[in-house]
Amino acid sequence: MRPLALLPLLALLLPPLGLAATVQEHPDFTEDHFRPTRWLLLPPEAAITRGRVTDAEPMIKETEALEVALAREAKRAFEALGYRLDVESASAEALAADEELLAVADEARDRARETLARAGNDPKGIARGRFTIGDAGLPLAAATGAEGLLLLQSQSLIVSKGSKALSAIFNPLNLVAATRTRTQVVGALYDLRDGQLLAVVMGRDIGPVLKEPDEVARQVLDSAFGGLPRRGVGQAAKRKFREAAPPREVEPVPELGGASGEEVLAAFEEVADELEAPVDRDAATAADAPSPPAEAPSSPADEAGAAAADERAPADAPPSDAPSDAPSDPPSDAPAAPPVELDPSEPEPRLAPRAAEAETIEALLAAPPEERPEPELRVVFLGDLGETGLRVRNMAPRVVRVSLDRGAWRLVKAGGAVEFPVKPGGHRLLVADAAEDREIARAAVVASQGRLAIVELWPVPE
Amino acid sequence: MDDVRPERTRTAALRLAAAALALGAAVAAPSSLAEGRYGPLPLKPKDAELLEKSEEFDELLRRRGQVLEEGPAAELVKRVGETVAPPDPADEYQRFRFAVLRHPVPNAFALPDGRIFVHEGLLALLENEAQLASVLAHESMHVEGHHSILNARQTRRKAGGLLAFRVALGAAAPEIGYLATVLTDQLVSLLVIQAIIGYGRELEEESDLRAVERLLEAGYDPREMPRTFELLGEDPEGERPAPKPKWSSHPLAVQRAAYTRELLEELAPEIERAEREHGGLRVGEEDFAGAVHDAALRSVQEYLDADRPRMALWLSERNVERWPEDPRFRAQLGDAWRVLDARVAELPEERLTRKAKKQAARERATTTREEQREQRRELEGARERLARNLARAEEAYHEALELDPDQPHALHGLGLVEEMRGNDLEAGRWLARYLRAAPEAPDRPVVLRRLEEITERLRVAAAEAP
Repeated sequence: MRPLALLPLLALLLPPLGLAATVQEHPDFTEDHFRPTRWLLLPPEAAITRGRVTDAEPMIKETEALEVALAREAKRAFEALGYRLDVESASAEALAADEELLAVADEARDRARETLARAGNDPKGIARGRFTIGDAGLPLAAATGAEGLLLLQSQSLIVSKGSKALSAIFNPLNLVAATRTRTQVVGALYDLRDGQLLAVVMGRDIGPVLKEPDEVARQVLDSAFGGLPRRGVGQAAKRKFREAAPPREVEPVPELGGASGEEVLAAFEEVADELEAPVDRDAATAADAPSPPAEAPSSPADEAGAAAADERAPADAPPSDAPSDAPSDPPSDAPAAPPVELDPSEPEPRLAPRAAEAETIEALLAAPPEERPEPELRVVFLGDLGETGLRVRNMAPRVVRVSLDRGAWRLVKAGGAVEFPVKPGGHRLLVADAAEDREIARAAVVASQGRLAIVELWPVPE
Repeated sequence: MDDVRPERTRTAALRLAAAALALGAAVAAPSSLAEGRYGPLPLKPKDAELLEKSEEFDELLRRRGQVLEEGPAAELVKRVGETVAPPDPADEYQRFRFAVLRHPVPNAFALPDGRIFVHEGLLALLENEAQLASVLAHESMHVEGHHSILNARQTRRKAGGLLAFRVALGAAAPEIGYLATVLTDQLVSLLVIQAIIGYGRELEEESDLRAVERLLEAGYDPREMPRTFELLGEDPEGERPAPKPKWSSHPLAVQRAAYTRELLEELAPEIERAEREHGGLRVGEEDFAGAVHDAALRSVQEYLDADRPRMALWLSERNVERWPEDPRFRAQLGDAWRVLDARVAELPEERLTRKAKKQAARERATTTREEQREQRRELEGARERLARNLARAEEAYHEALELDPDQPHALHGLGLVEEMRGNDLEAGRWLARYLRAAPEAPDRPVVLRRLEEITERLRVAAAEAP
């Protein structure tokens, strides 16, 4: 059984007050910015202990009555403030009957407890917006339709007759022993949409919790929620917290008041297709592209002689199957790229990178977007031609290096091509300068089962 | 509540010190060597309360949905438990029942009425039936030897110190009031337990030793027991403080492995005899894996959700070896590498000292996950570590896709990896595939929102591109 995590919170958050109240609130909650109106209650957890003279007895079966009462009174108290509190969707019975719901509820609750324990070390951090459960609450929101989450934990100490008798002896001697039964409750309010911990409330009562759990639950929750703002009523947050809390923008969540899933997917596909499509390339023209060029596709056995023997398409002429309206045809008077010598000790192309290569490739791939240079070549996909593998053609007037899936660099001369044996699926292509460790372009390539994927590297049009 | 004036606080501090000394004197008396009682034990009135609480606790766990009522894991634990439990308990109030709890931490415990609970996290850790049998036999010995009841009786005898301390504290710090009393009960209980720890540890060792005999009787191979302790001692996260032995009711796992290994060497003739009698001693690997498959999946997920990627990684690597054709375990391995982020996979020795663990625990308790991530990404070598871990994650995800091209977790994981690398377009493609492959996934809104954000970033990038 997961331990109650709030005991340290009780110790650290409860100020020496006669009356309990809201402990801390996020300014957005105070000011009614993005304040949830539909709340979900997870099953409250209560612990009742009878403190006897020589030991403490946990009252286990009695907790059920108190937990049921807490749920009922929380609903009443919230509705009195104008909010809706759903106590059924994630009740103990509902969770026991639905394993998937139990899993998402457990994830949200565990993150909430973890966050609350940290908040116990920095209560003012709640107002500064420091604590959040991130996305952990969204699946629960999706399953129940709630915007906010209420977590309730209570602890009751019952003073035994023996202890009271002792107090009658010791208290007159100014040696004080506990004399009254007390119940304390801690409530934590989270925004499920962005995970923000919005408020922590505490309440206490001194009623007979075993005999009158309903009444004790009513009193302790009225005490706890008494400081919460009514629905729709915004109050001015303290300036220091308003300035310290980072601004929240709670956007509508897709499929939970926001766009539908299909709309989101369609929007992405549109942007992605635009970014990946070749400039001014006509899709119909690509589909009608003639058969592969007469030049023999490079094979591993041919690579060794490529540097010296590659007299294929000169750098200034487009390949024979290129659409005639390709705007990025290399200019006819472009100078031929200087030859680059391949390592004569490696007659066969290496697929596995050397250690230094691997490091360079890794570093280039891992560079954050803001540090990457502007692409100098555009990676263009031509489509499937009926064989297996991946062919990379260099349509630019320069020699480049390419690495596929973090493999060894392979030189591709201007107008030349290299082929990689690949399995169907996604692959990562990195193109770099032939001499310097500098990225020129990158792309994700998908090779289908039994089909050849052709990638062409074209200069970026000016 | 009264204001606290400095002189009253000084007086309070002095009284507190006096109270602590009183307690120390009360509990410092040496306790006699403890043994369990393995025959009938009549109950005293206070003992009966313990049994009532056991039943209530069981009901509480079931009410809170913590007990796995059905399934292969529950059946396995029941079957093995009934094999190693004593066939005829000495007392009527003892009835052996076995259940599985939904909890990722490797643990098992016994209540005095014979209810024995095994956490799913323990099932995910173990390798075969014989190891499970050694745990259940150990817990059965606690019940058979009436350890809880005897332990409680000794606690009550020592609790005179508890009384003195509570009264003195009440006198020392009236300003603290009720809250202090509540906390004090908890704290003082711990202190009292500490005084009788020697008693608890001896009973734990006794249970280990008697469990070996029970395993032989039941036909299980007790030579799996030391390995069980080795597994229980694994701590990839380095979170278990190296316990000062007097603070732990369980001897250190490494000590338990060592002394059971020695014992098994001494018992070699008995083991050989049992092997002959039973026609071989059961280890039971073949059915075990199938029964704990779901527990293994859930345990890794719980560790990932709790931001414990090293434990998730350690478990996942074992799971992939055990179930090489199941793509979900490979996807979880990818998740573990991804959630590892810029952390090292294996903690170096200097971070496993008691002081370092305490410091780490303090930092975990006072910083949020987001703050921890930011801090570790600023450490030296973080970028390289992150790149390496993401590469390993990517590799594991692709291996999962080779087994199942539409494995949802792998698709999702690849999307997250690419997003972490800043490759929004690739990230979006993978996430879109995930959404199509798993339209009913509970985290659909999370992924859709992520995809929305990616789309917006791509739009901005496209608009700003030359």
